[in-house]
Amino acid sequence: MKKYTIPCCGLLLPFLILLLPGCGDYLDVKPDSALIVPQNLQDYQALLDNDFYIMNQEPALGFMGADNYYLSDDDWASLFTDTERNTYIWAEEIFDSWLPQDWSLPYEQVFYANVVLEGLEELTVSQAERAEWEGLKGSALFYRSYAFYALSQHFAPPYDPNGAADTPGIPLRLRSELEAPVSRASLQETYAEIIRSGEAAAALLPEHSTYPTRPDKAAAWALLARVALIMGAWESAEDYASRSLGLRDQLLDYNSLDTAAALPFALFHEEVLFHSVLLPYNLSSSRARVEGNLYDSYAQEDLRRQLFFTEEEDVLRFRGHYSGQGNLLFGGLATDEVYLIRAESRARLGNVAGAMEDLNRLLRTRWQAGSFVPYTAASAAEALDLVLAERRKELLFRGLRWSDLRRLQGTPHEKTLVRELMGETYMLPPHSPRWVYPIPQQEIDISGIAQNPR
Amino acid sequence: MKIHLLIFYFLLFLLRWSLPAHAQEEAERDARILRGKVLDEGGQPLPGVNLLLKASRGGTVTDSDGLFSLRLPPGVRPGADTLQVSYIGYTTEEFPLPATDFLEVRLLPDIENLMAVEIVSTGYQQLPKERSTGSFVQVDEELFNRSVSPDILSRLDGIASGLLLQPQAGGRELSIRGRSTLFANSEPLIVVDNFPYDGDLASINPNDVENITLLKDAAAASIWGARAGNGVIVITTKQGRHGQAPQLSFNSNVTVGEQPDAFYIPRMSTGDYMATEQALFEGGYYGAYERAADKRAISPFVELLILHREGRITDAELEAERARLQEGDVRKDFERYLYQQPLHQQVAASLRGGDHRQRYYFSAGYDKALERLIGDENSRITLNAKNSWAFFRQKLRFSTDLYYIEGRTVNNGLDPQGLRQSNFDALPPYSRLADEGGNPLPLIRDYRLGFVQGAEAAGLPDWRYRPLEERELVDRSNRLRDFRANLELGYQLLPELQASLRYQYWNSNGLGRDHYGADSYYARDLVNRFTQLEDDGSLSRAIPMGGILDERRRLSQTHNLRAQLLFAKLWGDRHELNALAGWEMKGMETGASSFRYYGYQEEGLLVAPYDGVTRYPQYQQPSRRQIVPGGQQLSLLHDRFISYYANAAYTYHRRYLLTLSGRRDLSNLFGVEANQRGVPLWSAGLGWNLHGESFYRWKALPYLKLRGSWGYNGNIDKSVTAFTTARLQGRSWDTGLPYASITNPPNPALRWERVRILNGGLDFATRNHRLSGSLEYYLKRGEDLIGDALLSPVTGRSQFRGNVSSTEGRGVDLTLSSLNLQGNFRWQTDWLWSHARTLVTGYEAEAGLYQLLSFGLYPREGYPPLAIYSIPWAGLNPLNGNPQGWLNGERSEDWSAIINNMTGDSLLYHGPAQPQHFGGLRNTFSWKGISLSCNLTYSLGYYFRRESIRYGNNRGLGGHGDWSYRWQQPGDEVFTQVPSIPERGNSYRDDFYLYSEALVERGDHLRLQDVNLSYTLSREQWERLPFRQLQLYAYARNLGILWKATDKVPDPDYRTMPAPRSLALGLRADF
Repeated sequence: MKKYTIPCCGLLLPFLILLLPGCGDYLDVKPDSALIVPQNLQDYQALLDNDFYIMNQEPALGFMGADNYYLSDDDWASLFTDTERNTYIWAEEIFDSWLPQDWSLPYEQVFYANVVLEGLEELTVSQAERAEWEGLKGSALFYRSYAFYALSQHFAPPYDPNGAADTPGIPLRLRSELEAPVSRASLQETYAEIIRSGEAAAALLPEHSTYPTRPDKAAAWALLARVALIMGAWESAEDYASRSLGLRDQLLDYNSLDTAAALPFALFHEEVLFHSVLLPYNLSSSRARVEGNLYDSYAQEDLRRQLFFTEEEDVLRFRGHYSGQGNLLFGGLATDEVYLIRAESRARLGNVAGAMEDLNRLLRTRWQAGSFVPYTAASAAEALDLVLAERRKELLFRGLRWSDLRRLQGTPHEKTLVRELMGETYMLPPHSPRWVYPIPQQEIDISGIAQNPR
Repeated sequence: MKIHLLIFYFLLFLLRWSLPAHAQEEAERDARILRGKVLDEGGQPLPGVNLLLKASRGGTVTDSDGLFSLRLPPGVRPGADTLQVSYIGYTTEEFPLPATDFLEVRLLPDIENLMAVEIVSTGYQQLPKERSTGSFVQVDEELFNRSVSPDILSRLDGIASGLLLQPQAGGRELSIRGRSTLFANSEPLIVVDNFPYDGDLASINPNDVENITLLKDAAAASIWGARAGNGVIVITTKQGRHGQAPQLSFNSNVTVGEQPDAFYIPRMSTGDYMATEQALFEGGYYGAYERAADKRAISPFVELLILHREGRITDAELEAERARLQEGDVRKDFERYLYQQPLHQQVAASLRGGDHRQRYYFSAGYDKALERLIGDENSRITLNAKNSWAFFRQKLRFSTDLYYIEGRTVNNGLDPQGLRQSNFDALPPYSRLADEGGNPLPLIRDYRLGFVQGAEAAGLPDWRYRPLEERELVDRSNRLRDFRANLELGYQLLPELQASLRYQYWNSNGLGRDHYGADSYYARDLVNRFTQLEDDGSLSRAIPMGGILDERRRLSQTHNLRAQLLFAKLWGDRHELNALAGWEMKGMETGASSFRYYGYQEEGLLVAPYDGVTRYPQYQQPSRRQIVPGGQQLSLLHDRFISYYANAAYTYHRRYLLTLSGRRDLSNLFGVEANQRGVPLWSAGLGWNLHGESFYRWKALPYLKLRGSWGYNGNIDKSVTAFTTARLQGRSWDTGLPYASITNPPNPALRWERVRILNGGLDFATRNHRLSGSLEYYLKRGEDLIGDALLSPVTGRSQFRGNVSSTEGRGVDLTLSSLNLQGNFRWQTDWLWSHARTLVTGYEAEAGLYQLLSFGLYPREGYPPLAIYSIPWAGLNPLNGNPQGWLNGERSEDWSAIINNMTGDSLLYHGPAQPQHFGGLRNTFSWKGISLSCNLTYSLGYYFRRESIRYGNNRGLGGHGDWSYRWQQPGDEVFTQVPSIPERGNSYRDDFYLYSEALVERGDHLRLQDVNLSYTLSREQWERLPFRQLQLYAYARNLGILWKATDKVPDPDYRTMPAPRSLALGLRADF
């Protein structure tokens, strides 16, 4: 028996050896080397740096529904999507059959932010990496806060402290898990969460970030100031704005800009605190026209008159994009806005001198050198009128007008929007439910959350 | 680790079966082993032949090369026992036990029970079909060569039971027995010479194919485990034979196809197009174009209208131009200048033979084709060398197979679909590609004519686009080098036990090269767009003048290693055991890179540096800044498997069969916990050869077999992962920072897909094989299928992909073969009928309405995965020609409300989008050397949505030809369902009509697939013939549709391009 079995087993041996090695390491290789399981600070930073497609964009519906521009009949008819046409005339139905990014993109930002926040919680970092870790956490919280803010301006009613606890706001997602049920938080919770995330971000973010696509402390305070202003919390707004200006108060001297350039403003110039652009629709340069009386409200010495507008064949168009690109509208945060927030808060709080100081400091950089005569106001009301008028002239095509019109409802500065189109007149009066966009049907179908009345 | 032990014990078990024999032999030193081989009358080895010592009850079975080694019991002397050699379909031979060590037996066919013996190859072993319990389809060389084509797959169309080649947009969908997966790969696994083939099947030369076996059920497919859920196609290439005199074969053919029909899809006529342009112009539609910052192209006729508006041309001039343009139809130019008749030439030669120690097969093939577009051509060279040696009285076998393929594709053809006026607009039908003399004419492209003229005046180089010239100035090609080496070492350890080690190395090297010459529009346009007009009037260029070269490289490598033990033993004439067990690993690596060179000059290989970081203003729109497109990309993919498998077949009395198989696959499925990486798959089968029973006396039906199998196959979708995974996308345009996107949300419960298959079959043959066939019924249940669940967008994802679905398929495969006439004039009919029906049985989220409507895979519980739904239609409004639907039980034109209120349940379900019944009917007539065979194929029980006009916001400009059948005045609704032109664009109105019931049609049809006519001369008839055999053949494919259920389209399966008719003529010679 031995005689046979030994050679047999001997021959079998290589087979047995082949059978035994473990499969562990061999199968641990990634199927696609471009894939990563995010697990270190660098990976998380890369997710938050997805600026162009995810993190640094925001809804544009508000801009499209507001009064910075108007369209000719032909231009309106040749718009590419029903969504654009419907939004222009505040129609009952807004969306065509595609899921609008105005709704889905901010939530995608929230998802990214939550993935990063959860990943950071599980990461133990060395002391040397601590600052980076905190900066990332602050960034993620900032993006989340910004996304909730953007959603609240479109899909939740204007903020009113009375009844905010009983008014539906937007769904708030604070974890990345997909299974968690979806429901609308109250308006009060919505704003509370925006402030909470924003303040947490401000505490963690670095003093200064190298890239305006990444938020820093000044950006977080600026966001909080913007939100406090919308909530009518003037003290907070002034406080937040002051903190932001305490870190970054540079203004761009418009005298240094080339009025002949096609785009006078560069990408990432010194006023930009946080770079974000509105979702690209087809309303920008080739179609959107500017009303003559808005243009006429700029004094001849006001450099914005030349830098913000072009005139071709009697049609006025806007070109003062802080995005540095003609086809993208800036929607982020910049110091000019922060000055205006503090000026308005001070005016509303009765600090006329303070308000005028902020306003004049801003305008001095907007007028031809030496031509600007500082504004004065005799009363708080006069100061407020001045500040709001200048706000209208400074922050246009920035996605802010819609929020301003919403928050000014019920005040002397409220406005009814009017559009003339194909011989018909469309109106959007204050307090109309159409100041709130409907939630896309796809969302209602799947999660069953309550629709906004139209 | 458990599996290691299991395999180990299995091996021990196999060994133990052999050991008692050793013990007995210890006393008998003179025990000996008889080796030999069994061949058929033509010298082909017969695997699975039973050899039995009648007195001493020892026995064995031949292996896949027809070889056997039989241990002679102690004390048995030559002549003292009788050796019985038996095989189904052959007469049983009996010999006195010979004194030699090596015996060659030739079996003759059983004239009485002429039975085509089919050997099925599973890729791991070969076995006679009689001894299998699974579902196999065998396509032999003769049937395979009935059709003429450069590739393998199209030859299987309509001749392999259960296999469906369904034409789809952009290719064909191949499926075996319906679809049993949703989002994972749905194509069958392709095995070439024992290993899964990773290359492009189209590159294998069909002249090298010996036979093809389809594995359709669990019994055989679980051999292939995790990738066999969609069935397996096993391709075996030709090999020389031991003892075969050298045989030289030669085959050559030419196939001519039909020139494409540019008018196949009806389109708006030139006159209608211009009228629509004028209506749009008058409605102000082109205002935005005229003011567009990007200077977008405006069509020649609209430019004329603008000139006329501005008073720069007179009415008469406009009318004259209109009359001139109206004459044109650019589709005539397509036919004249872009299309050609496809022509394919094929030459192949092979040499094969062998002696008792060595055998060989060498082949070479050359294919060259001119495709349907002028400028598109490809060629392929295939070389193949197979050698096999046997040593030590056939105990040790060694073989090497080498394959080399070199393919080259040139894609310089201009596809009419790619000829557009701009990104926004199609080419106007009055465009002309060439003047009367055939000289290339420029088209308006991308920019307005005035802008282009202005730029040229400013000193920029020519900015016109002349397509016919472009074809000469651009050179796009792909080269593929594919090398494959198979090594096999086999050793007969014991008479019952054979060990083999196989290794395959595959290397595929692709190089794609697109060269845009310096004068090509592509290069000029890019250079011009990145040109800056400086203040002093000078020009500065961000992109160096010159050509552009894009290079794409791709290198794939696979290592496959397999170790296997094969055991075969016969105990008496009752028990027979065939078993195998093995281990294998596979590693595939695919690396790809692409790179672009600017300023490329072929002469001297010059390239120029460029700045790929700065954002430059675009000349046509200075407010828009872009970086110079670079196009550098790298990718690296790994595909790894480790598998264990075992497989046993036990036969009792040659009547009762029991088969078992099991396999475990482990892969590098990303982000899955190790214990979920693998999946155990198994099958069990039973068979009963009724005709072998003593009680079976039915002489008319000498062959009757029942069989059944049950088990699991797997499938894999590597695109989903268990962890949150992200993909690094490169660097941000604005910041230059690397950025990543989340590609997969976390899915900790991810597992492999499993397909459970139950298969029952009945095989029969009447006396003399006049009528034979098989009937199979199967149930296929897909479990844990990867599916999409729609998610609330609030989650940050609009859908989730996970193991959320299941499907259930059932069907019947029937093949009948009837020998209607025998003798000098022979007539045979083969009929294939397959019925396959798959329903989604589990799907978590109901697909959205639009997803259900738009053709695609949007599963819904209780319905087929690919199905056609529509919105109920209530006719056209007689007053205005608006399409009408139903809303709350009433006729309505509120299309958005109709669509938004529609649910899956209120949609009309028509039926599956894939045929439920399909097959072929093949009649073959032969007389002397002439043979005529014609195949009809049919597809029944499915639906499709036909194309029609979408008005969009431009009154349907350039759209589908249904435009001219639209409602125009009251009364038209009686004979048309095409809505009127809307006042202004409304996407809901368009969608409502295009997805309505009015456009759904039955796809059922009967097609004359092909006809083959051949004439064979052989030396048996003509002794002075210089060849052993010479065959002349003609083959025509896609001859036409004989019947179809719909009268709305010419061909339900080919709606954008007609099924190309072709005629091949060829010659085959054997020396």
